[in-house]
Amino acid sequence: MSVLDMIIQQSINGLMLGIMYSLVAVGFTLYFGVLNVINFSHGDFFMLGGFMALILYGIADTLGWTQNVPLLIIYLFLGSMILTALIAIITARICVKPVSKAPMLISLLVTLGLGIAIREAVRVFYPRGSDPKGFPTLLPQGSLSIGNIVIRYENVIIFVLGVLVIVVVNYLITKTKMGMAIRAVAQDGEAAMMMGVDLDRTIDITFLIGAAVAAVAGIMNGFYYGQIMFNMGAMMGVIGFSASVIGGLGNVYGAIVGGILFGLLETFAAATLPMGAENKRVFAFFIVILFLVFKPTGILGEKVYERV
Amino acid sequence: MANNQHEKEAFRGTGGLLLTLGIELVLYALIMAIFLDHGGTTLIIDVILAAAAIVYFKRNHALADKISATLAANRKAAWIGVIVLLLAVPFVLQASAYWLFIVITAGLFMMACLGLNIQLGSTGMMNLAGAAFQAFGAYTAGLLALNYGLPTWLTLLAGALVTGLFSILLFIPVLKTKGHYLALVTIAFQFMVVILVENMEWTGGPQGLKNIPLMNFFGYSFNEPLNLGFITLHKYANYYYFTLLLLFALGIAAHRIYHSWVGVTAATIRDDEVAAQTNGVQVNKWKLTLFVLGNCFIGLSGAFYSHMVGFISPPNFAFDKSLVMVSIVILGGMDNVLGIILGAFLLIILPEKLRFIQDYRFMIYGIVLIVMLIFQPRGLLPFVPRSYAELIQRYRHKLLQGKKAQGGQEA
Repeated sequence: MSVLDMIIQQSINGLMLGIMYSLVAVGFTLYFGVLNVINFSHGDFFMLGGFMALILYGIADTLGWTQNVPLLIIYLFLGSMILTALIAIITARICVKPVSKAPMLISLLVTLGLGIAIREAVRVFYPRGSDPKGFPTLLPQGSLSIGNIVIRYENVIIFVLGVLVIVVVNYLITKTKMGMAIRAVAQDGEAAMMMGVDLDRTIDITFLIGAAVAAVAGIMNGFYYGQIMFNMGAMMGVIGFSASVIGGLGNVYGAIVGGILFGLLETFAAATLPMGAENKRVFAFFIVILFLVFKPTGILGEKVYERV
Repeated sequence: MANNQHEKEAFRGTGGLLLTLGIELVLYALIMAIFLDHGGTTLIIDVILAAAAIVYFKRNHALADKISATLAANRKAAWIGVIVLLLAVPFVLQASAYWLFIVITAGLFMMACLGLNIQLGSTGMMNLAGAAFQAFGAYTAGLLALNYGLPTWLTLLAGALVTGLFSILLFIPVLKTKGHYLALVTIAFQFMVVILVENMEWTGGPQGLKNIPLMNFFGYSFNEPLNLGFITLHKYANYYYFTLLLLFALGIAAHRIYHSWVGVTAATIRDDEVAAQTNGVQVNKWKLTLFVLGNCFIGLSGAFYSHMVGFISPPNFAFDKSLVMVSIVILGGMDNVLGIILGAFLLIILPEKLRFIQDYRFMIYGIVLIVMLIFQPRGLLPFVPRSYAELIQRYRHKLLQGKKAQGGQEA
């Protein structure tokens, strides 16, 4: 296998992972724009998306709806997105919104606490929730080889789906009225309110979009790895936040670029460094720290001057 | 002047003394009852009593002021009472070594949180890698004791110092980032450390380090029951008294730092870094110094832990633990030593008691954290802004001396 082949192969794998990270990072960026809060429970919405799909699959299985696979997949995605978004909106109203004006420390701890509560609720209330849960394999298995490069069909579908979600989110935010409201609030909440933007509704919609997108990522993660676990949200939250910071916090395109970059960093570290497979995240986080120090505004962020 | 007024309001003489000791004794009895009771009834009664007391004193400020004035007036007696009662803990918990162990664990958290408080409470530097720094201390002590057979006092010291040295690794990020970004840097560092420890050969990997020698000071082994002649206490009593000693020493050190110019410097950095810099405060120097100092405290607690339990592994130093440390500091009240004690009690000891609800423990922990922070965002014992009048009073003679010296030079 030549070096070029290796690079292409790893790029494909990295893009696949990266698109998943991007979907989580988008939520961080949206919440930060609208509420000025880093929502550390966002990773747990990702996890919740996977578990909701699992529950919905269980229901479908007992009712015998599993013959029509494409329809089943659509049902899993839509159902999980709606349920996760509902939970996100409720929790945001109860505990994220009240602390958005509080010092950063408080909002940080409250959202971390919310993450613990969600994670533990899944562990306690899901039957045998402490164990890893197998995820149904619904996507077509098998792979396509071009020369030495192997592409799994599953990955292609996940990648295309991820791009599709990003295109839809982009459309929602740039072309629709509610997207305009989100952008207006992100720029200046008070001014937006004076222009007649319903702040509460905008926040709800932001959480709806963010959590639904995270839920998609959660299901994709389930299909990709074949199993999910109650505590996978904690790491994903940190990765998503890192990705949104690398890209530039507050910028949706930045989150996408950051997510893909993080995915590529991980896969290349795993493939090239000694002991890379175990330590890939160490390398990726190291790069994140370098970014924070030398380019804290991220790749696409605007330069912010501190006002004295 | 306010002080004098308080003294007038206080209960004077023997009555005041008795009241002080009485309050301490009642509180002590209520807390110890929680440990000794196998069920949760006492806990529930205590919580109801505490809630009732809070409601009562909120309505009746005069009495609360009077009691706090009495305590202040009998400061010496109050401290002696506290020390005696704390020394008595192993006697009271003679039959339940498990609870003594939990109390020591809470003590170690207090130790770490005293350090974290220097960073977070006094200087305003977020550190969500507390558990990672504890890991440095624990692994340093464990490896030194296992591989080189160094004595305990040396490994404890080395644990603290090596943690301080490693925290210098983070100095560029700590100085150059703040707020959310500093939080992310420390979280990333936390995950990096745990992953590395898990994957390296010489740290024992996921299995961790086993059979770390337990504490042994100059031939006196902490692994033997503590024989006082008339009574033989459980071996954990050794650790308990040592924790108490260290906590007193570190607490006094933290208190002295808070009330020194270093503490004031830290406060200016926390409140407004730019203003501090324009007024000639060496922001970078002090931020780094205090960051390293705080981590030394945390490292010491880690080293202590590895010598007490004898077994450490990566899950002992997971992100959750860092989170607990930060919660203790914030929930108790920032920049407040008493708050840390209260926070450690609430977050370490109470959840242990809540074992009767086993599985729901962490979920409830998360919910309680949210509720408390939403309704009491400044912590249970909100920090009292420094009174600069008091500060000037304290340093008056120094200031005058300085002026005199200057005047002398000019003349």
